[in-house]
Formats: sequence, structure tokens, C-alpha cells
Amino acid sequence: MAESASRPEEARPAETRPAEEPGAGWEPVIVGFLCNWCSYAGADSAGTARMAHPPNVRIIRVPCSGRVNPRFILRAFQRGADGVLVSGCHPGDCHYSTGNYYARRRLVLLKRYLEYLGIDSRRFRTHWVSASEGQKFAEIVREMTAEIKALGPGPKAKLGDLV
Amino acid sequence: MPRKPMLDIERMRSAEEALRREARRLLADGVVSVFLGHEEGWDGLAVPSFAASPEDAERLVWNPLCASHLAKYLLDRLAGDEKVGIAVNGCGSLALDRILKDRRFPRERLYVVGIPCTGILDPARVADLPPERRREVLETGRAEAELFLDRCSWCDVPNPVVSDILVGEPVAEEPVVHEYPRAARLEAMSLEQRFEHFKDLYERCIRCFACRNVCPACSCRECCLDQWEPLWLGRATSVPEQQMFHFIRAFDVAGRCIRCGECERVCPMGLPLMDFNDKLLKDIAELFGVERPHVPADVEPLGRFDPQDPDFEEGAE
Amino acid sequence: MKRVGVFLCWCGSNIAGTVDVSRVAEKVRLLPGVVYVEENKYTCSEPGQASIMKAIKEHDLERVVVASCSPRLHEPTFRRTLEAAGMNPYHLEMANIREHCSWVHTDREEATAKAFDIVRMAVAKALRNEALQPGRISIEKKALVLGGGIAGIQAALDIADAGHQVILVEREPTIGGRMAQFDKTFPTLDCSSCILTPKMVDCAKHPNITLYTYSELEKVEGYIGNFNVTIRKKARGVDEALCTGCGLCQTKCPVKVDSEFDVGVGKRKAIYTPFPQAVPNKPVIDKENCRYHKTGKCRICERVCEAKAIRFDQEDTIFEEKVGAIVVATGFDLFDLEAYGEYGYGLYPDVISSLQFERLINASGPTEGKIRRPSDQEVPQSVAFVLCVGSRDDQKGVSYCSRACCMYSVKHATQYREKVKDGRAFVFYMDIRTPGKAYEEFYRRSSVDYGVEYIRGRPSKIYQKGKKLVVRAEDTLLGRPVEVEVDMVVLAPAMVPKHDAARMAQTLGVSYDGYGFLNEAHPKLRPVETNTAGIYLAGACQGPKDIPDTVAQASAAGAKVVALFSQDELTTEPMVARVDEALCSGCLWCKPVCPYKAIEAKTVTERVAGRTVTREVASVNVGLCQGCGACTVACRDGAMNLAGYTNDQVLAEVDDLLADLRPACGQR
Repeated sequence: MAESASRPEEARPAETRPAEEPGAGWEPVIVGFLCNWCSYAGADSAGTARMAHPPNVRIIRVPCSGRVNPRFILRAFQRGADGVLVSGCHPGDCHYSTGNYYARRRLVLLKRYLEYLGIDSRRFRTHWVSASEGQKFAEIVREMTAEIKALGPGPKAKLGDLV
Repeated sequence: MPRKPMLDIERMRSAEEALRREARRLLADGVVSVFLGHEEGWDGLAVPSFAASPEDAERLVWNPLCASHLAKYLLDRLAGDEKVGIAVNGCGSLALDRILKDRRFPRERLYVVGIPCTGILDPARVADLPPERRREVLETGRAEAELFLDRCSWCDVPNPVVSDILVGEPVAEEPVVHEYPRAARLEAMSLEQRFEHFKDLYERCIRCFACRNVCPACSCRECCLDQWEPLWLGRATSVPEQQMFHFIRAFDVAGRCIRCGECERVCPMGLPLMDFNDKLLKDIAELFGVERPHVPADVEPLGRFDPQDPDFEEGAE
Repeated sequence: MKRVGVFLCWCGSNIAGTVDVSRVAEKVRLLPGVVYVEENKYTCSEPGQASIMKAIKEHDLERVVVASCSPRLHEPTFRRTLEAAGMNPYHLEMANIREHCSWVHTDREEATAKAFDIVRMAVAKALRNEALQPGRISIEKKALVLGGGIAGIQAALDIADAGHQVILVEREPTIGGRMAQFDKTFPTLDCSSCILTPKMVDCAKHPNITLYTYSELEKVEGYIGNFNVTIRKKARGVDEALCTGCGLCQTKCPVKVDSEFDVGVGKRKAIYTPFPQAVPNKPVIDKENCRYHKTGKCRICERVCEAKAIRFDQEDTIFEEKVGAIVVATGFDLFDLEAYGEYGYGLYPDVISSLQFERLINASGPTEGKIRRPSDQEVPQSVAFVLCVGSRDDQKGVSYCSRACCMYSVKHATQYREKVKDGRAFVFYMDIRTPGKAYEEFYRRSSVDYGVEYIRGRPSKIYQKGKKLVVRAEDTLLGRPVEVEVDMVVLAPAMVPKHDAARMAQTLGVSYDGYGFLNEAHPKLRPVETNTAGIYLAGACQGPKDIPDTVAQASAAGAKVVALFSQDELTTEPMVARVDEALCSGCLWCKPVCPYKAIEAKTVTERVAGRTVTREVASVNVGLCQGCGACTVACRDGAMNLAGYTNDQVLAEVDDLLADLRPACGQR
């Protein structure tokens, strides 16, 4: 697999902060699209086990990660999301057998494309979380919240408001 | 490795003659009710022609300025069951194949006259030449590489992939190593620079939809961009709405784009619209091992998967 | 705008301990569409539900949002509540403010703000909820069982005993499958055919079972409750109605070829029944070897047949059946031992497979149960049994463990020691795996009571030395090379999928793994279902298994079928994909991404400008669709939508969540 120049692993400064530096109390908003069968249940497991994690993720339940249209993700960023998370069943474990494989193709492509359009791809994460992986879900939320806090407000600040 | 396009005026003239002869025959015998080709328009430009009688067929031309693809005009002929004739060169056949693979026109209703092709000029670039030089180019075929359409530089389909009859001998095909310089150039920039590059594009776009209308992969009965419920695209021309417009346009043809660059060629604002598509073509080639992403496939790359596809959780982050 | 009622649950202190529910209620009151807000200590309790029903009536509510625990817990509960109040149950939307909020956050301010957002999203979605009706499909109470081995036999009997019609299709001339080839079964050493043949006969005699042997599945169409299957009954060359099974034809037939049933260690005729207890006990003519079919001369069987049942010109018949459920019990093949050139299988006559050994020790086998080695018919004084030939070998074979080989090889070694009192049995193993009732005890007995010698190590080479075979290996317990001279070697091949398993899976529309084993719907909780509703798995077609596991799974599959048939109609989940035909361009790019093959083209005719126009659009089979929504993303013009998760609903959730309501709540 050829490495694309837009791959984010090389060290790179965070996006330039927008003119209005967010106040000390700024908290990022992360929209999470979670598949009903694995990841939504995984978030439930985190709850049942009282695994505390930051309150920044707002969860939208979808039947399958394959239901997530890339347009939803861009829309979320445009409306002011500072990060977007899509999480589904592990490859091979999809409740719908192959839905997450199609999602993976589309979302891997999207992740690179967002970066290409000038939206830091670290703001968009995709994970596989099973129903039993409450711990992993909590971990992801912690990690992602911290990362996005460091990155600052999302692309809405630069794009301007939707009318 | 880029290909070197060239003009072969002799070949074009004999193809033109054969094309007229074939169209005349098809119309006279009633095989087709209309024949889609090019004819000479204002200032020597080639414009689409819809020949409905053997006499009309005399107007058909095949010359270095026949840049536009005709396949999308088939959508105007969906009603009815008469056969339609159409002239396509190599890249024109990709556009036609796109329409066919998207099941937007029945193959049985087509009679396809294929024209092996060695290169086509960009009419806008030719129009900018001094009149003397312009005449010389069109008469002798001695044209520098910059005058050709961008798609000629990587063309690996000189011969039509769909045809019922060929006019002219097939052109020798050479393997082409595909490169995506437009995407590569932008990838080399910083995130911020890329954002500004596209922001500038969004700001200049007047949302005339010419890019969508010409695109052979954009053939929906009712485009989602025109719908009200849900309102995928707000009607205001703000930067985010423009971003959504171009995002939907590019991502919806991801895996189906034939890389013809017609969107960019018809853009009245001269926006570098292929910057959007080039990256998706490049990534589809890289990520999913599709060697010729511009060639319509029986199942589009996003309509299939490989369990071994690159994953996010392993280093892609 | 629809009238929304919001019911906020305290869940005792589970929610209210962290979230200021009253403050959320205040803000929710201001949301567009919300006409009624109520707090409950326990919304799921009897009084909680009663108050929802009361509010629906008193406030003319059109949509209900319950903010409480996970919908995975109580969505069905509250849907029933709505239904009881005369409302469409799908007008419910739940906001998960417990598992996703109060239980995982500690800061009251933050948790309260988040809870409000969660409710806000649910209200936005609820406003766009539509009344959904579950579909109903009829059920043809007849099952198709594919494969007549022990799995298929067991499943067929269980379903038939419950009073349903069963069609049992077997590719070979007889049912019985692999188990019919075995001599004894571990760990009890029951005679395999003594426990199998009565079941075979039960199958043949059962009034509810129709047996089609020497037949194959050609095509499957339709969906759960309504499959149309096409079956090819191959020409037997014998009129089954007339044949009495006397066997005279087989005695007189002049052609002798290797018997498939005896795995090459015995012979059969060109007209034959695979074994004496075959069901049905009617022979078939093997056209490839039949002298008449090859040369046009012979017809001895025809002459000797008193029943006049021979039909040389018989042709295949193809017929269709309608069934409501399918049990796949197509079994397994054995790994091709010739892949291990160093073991000399196919080169040295006395290197045989375990299945061949089964035939050699079987009283009804070619040697009448006397262990005689193939090369010179002498009784081997020592035998080496080699485990994991193909199994657990990433390089040459398959990565998985075949599960049954340890136990049957232990059994073989024991049986050999029983029959050849002074013989020596060596077992070359990597690990001996005995996870089963009385398995470990059986293994221990083989070593303690029968003196079977176990050597831990995978042989590197087997070669001939005079009349002996030398097995060379490294004893990994002692860490030194060993060489053992034996008279015969028995290799235990991996169990692999049927050679045409993938094609079978494609015909059925079920998924299969990288090896070709059919996939169960869930590895733990839905082990006998497939992802295609109405198709169930039994036995080794799903993965290597021994007989007890196979029978258990077969009965489980049978139970699933019987449960399905206990209803007269099937209600289908209404949250399925649907097509707006006016929008659909008919590109059908939705079709390849559908995991259930639920999308087909459909022709619609319409009048446009005075002309009749036909065009193709996508059409969703609600019997097959499971509601994953992959098609909606493949659909560019939004013609394909998913009820319950429409584009409009998801976008509303995104939009309303992020609408800048927080500074001036409710005043947008």
C-alpha cells in the first residue's frame, strides 16, 4: 500500500486555531454513530460497569456501521461537531454479516478524503467495539476527547455558519 | 508513465467519412431513429448533433475538436423503444459504459459506432491560439502535448470498450502506469493550505450545476442536490453548503468516475474540479488495489469488499 | 408539527443521582413540538406506564419520547405501552440517559447538559417517526433437509416427529453418510451401524419424510417460509418402484471397480448398492463403468432382473418443491493426503487414511474386520497412527483443529490392540485433545489398559525399508529424534469442507468462511441459524464435529424449524429498507451491498406525456431484508431509505443536536 502524503502519522502542527481562541471552559462535542448490535451495546456495557469517561460524545444509534452515509459525517462537522466517531462490530462479526466491510471501504476512503479537504483526519475516528468491550469504548472516548481538546474547535469555525 | 497523444488527421478524415456513411445507412434503413454525433458549430467548434435523417448524417464531423461526450444525451431518449445510434471514441465509450453499467439506458436500444482515437484537443486551448497557428494545427495535426485534453495524457483506452462496429483500424494499445499528479500536488501541501485551496474554490463556485449535468456518472432521475426532504444541500451559497455540494458530487461518483474531466472543462468559472476526483481515484487505486479505477467495473469498488482491506485500527490513524 | 410527550425517568437514583432531571425537564419543555413533559421515579413500572397511557389520551400525544435506560433493555416494553394506548408502537423514541450518561459521568452539570442533548436528539428524531406496520408472510410448513448423513437424518426425524413434512435430499445412492462407514464410535465403542441403521430405516418409513436419494439441489429462490427449491433426481438406471432389492444384478454384474464406500480398499460392481444396509436398498447403475453404457453390449443385469426394473435409458428428472425452511447438513470431505509427499500416501500401499482403517476393522468391510495390510494382506504387527495430517498446519494444510481425529485415533489404536494382542500401536500427536464426556477416561484407558504408545511429535518423514515403514519424528517431550519401524501407518486427515461447499453456499445465499465452512449467524448465541432467515445448519458443514455434537446441532436445527412452523404467519420487522419508486433510477448499485440478496429489479410501467414507459427500479423483498441499511448509503439519490432510521431522521438528530440551542434554550 503506497503511503499517501496526506497520512496523518507524520508529525504535524495542530490546525491553526481560529481567531477567537476558545475559552478555558471549552469542551469539544463529538458525534458518535454507533451500530446497535455491537458498539451501542458496548457503550451500554461501559455504563453497566460504571466505567467513567468524558461526557463529550453524543451517540446516534444506527443499525449498522454500513448505514452511516459519509454525508452525515460531513454534515456533523459543518454543524459544529469537533469530532466524529463511527463504531461498529469487529470485521467478521457484523450482525448483518458484511455490512461493516462495506462501511470500512467507504470510511477509510472518507478519512483520507477529509484530510485532503483540509479537515484534520484525527477528528474522524472509526473503531470496532463489540458488545462486551465497554472498557474499550470508554478508552476510545477518553483518548478521542483528549486528542480533540488539543486540536481545538472543529472545522465549523473556519467554514462559517450554515445559513 | 504518461502517454504521448498525437493527432492523425488522415485517420480522422477517413473515420469521419466512414462515420457519415454508417450513420446514413443506419438512418436510411431505419435501424436507428436518431444518431448522436458531432457537427460543426460556431467558430469551427464541434457541437453535439442529433441526426434524424440520412441527409442530417452529412453534417456529422469527426475532428480534433470533438471533445464532448455524447452518452449523457441518451437520457433524453429514455422514453420510447426506438434504437439510437451513437458515435464514441475510446473515452467516449467509457462514458457510455458508465451509463450502461449504471443501467440508465438499455444496451439493446443502442447502435454504437466506435472510433479508434489517438488524441483530441482541448477546444478552449485551441481557441486561445493565434488564428494562423490554429489553422495549422487543425490542418496538419502538428500539436504540442499541452493542447490536448488532459485525459489524453494517461489514456489507456484508445479503442472503444463498447461498440457494434468500428470505423478505422484499432490503435495499438500500450500499458499506462497511472499517476495522479493533481492529488499528489495537493497532498504535498499542508492541511491549512489545502483547506484554503478548496475554500477559495467554494467561494468562486456559482453552483450552476454544469459539472453535475455533464458528468456521465451523475445520471439520477432526481439529483439529491435538488431534493427538499431531506434537504441534503441548503439553497444558500455559503462556504459550508458549497463544500457539501462538491463533497456529495465527488463522493457519489467515487469508484464510478471515469476521469474524463468534463466537469472541469465545462466549468464556466474555470475551477480545478478534478482536484476533487483525482484524490478519490488515487486512493481507490491505492487502498483497494484497483489498477484502472476509471474503467467501469461490473461491481463498483464501493459495492464490494475484501476481508483483507486496509483497516482503521491498524495504523491508519 | 407533531405533538410530542417526553417522559423523563429518574430510575430511582440511578439517573436522578447524577442528572438533574427536573432541570432537563424545564429545558425540554421549550423544544419545538414538545407539549407535555413528565418525570417519573420508575417509568418502566406499572404506574409509570399507566401515566404514559393516560398522558397520551389527555394530551393527544402523537409521539412519545422516553428518556431512561438503554433501548436495548426497554424499547419493547414501551412500544407495548404505546400499543396499549392505541398508538403505533413505532412512534416511540428512547433517550438513553442512564447507560450512556448518568452511569458513566460524575459531574452533575456535565451529565445534565448531556442528558438534555440526548433527549433533544430523540425529540428531533421522534418528530419524524412514521407509523410502521409489521409485515406478515405465510409459512409453508414443509422443510427441506440437505444431506442424509447422521445430521440430516436426525434433523429430518425431529421435524417429522413434530408432525411436519420433510423432504430429505441426499446426493449419494443411499442415506447414512460418513457414519455408515465407521466401525465403532468413541468413547463407548458402540457399533456405528447398529445405532445408525435403525434411524435410516425410520427415515425411510416415516410417513412425513419423503426421501430423494441420488439427488441434488439445483436452485433456491424465495425467502423464509416461502422457498422454491429445484431438485435434480439423477437417473438411477433402475425403476425404484419395481426393484425388490434382491441384489441378483449385483452378483451377476461382470464389472468390478474400487468402492467409494470402502474408500478404495474394497471393490464394488457397476450396478451396486454402496453397502448391504443401504436405504433405499435399490441399486444404481454407474454409467461411467457399466459395460453396456460403454460398449453397447452386456445387459446381464437386465436379463437376470426378475422384477424387470432395469432402465438403461432413464433420464434425470427435475422438479420443484415449495418449503418453508431449509436445514443444511451436507457434511465434510477429508483433506487430500497426497499434499504430504513426505508421508508417502499414494506411494506406499501400507500408508492408509483413518477412514480406510475404519473399513479394514469393520466386520462388514472388505476384510470382514480382520486387520490386514493392503500390500500383502498380512496382519501388521505394529501400526503407527499419525495425527494432525493437514490440521493445525498453516503451511500445508489448514490452521484449525479437526476436533475428532484425536479421539478416533485413540479408538483405532485401542481397537487394533484388541484385535492384535501382541501388536504395538504408536500414536504420533501434537496434543491429545479430549474435551468431551468420558473422552479423557477413554484416552487414559487406551494407554494404561491397552498399552498404546504415545509419542509427542509430528513426523517429518515416512519411508519404506524392506517390508517395513519407518516413521521419523522428533519426540518433543524428550527433545530427541525417534525412528519407529512399523508394518502399517494410518494418517488422520483434517476434516475439510465439501469440495463444492462454496457453490452450495452461493446457491443457498448463505455466507461461508475462508475455508468454505458455512457461517452460523452468531458464533455463540445463534449457532445453528445462518444469516439468511429460514436456513439452518447441522453438522460438519459448519465446522469439524464429532457425532454427539453433530446430533446435538441437528436436533437444535430441527427445533428451530419446528418453532418456526409453530406459527401460521411470520411477522416481519417493519424497520426494513424501502424504495421510493418515483425517485429510483434503477441503477441497482444497492444490490451488491445487500448481505441478504433482498434486492431485485422490478419493472414499473407509467404514463409519461401520453406515452407508456416501462423502466426498472429496485425492489426490496421484506421477507429477506433485515434492515441493516447498507443499501441506503449505496443509493445516491436517496430513493432507498430505511424505515426507523431514515436519512431525514438521522440528519435531524445531527442538526438538532448541534443547533446552537444551549445559550438561549428554546429560542431559535
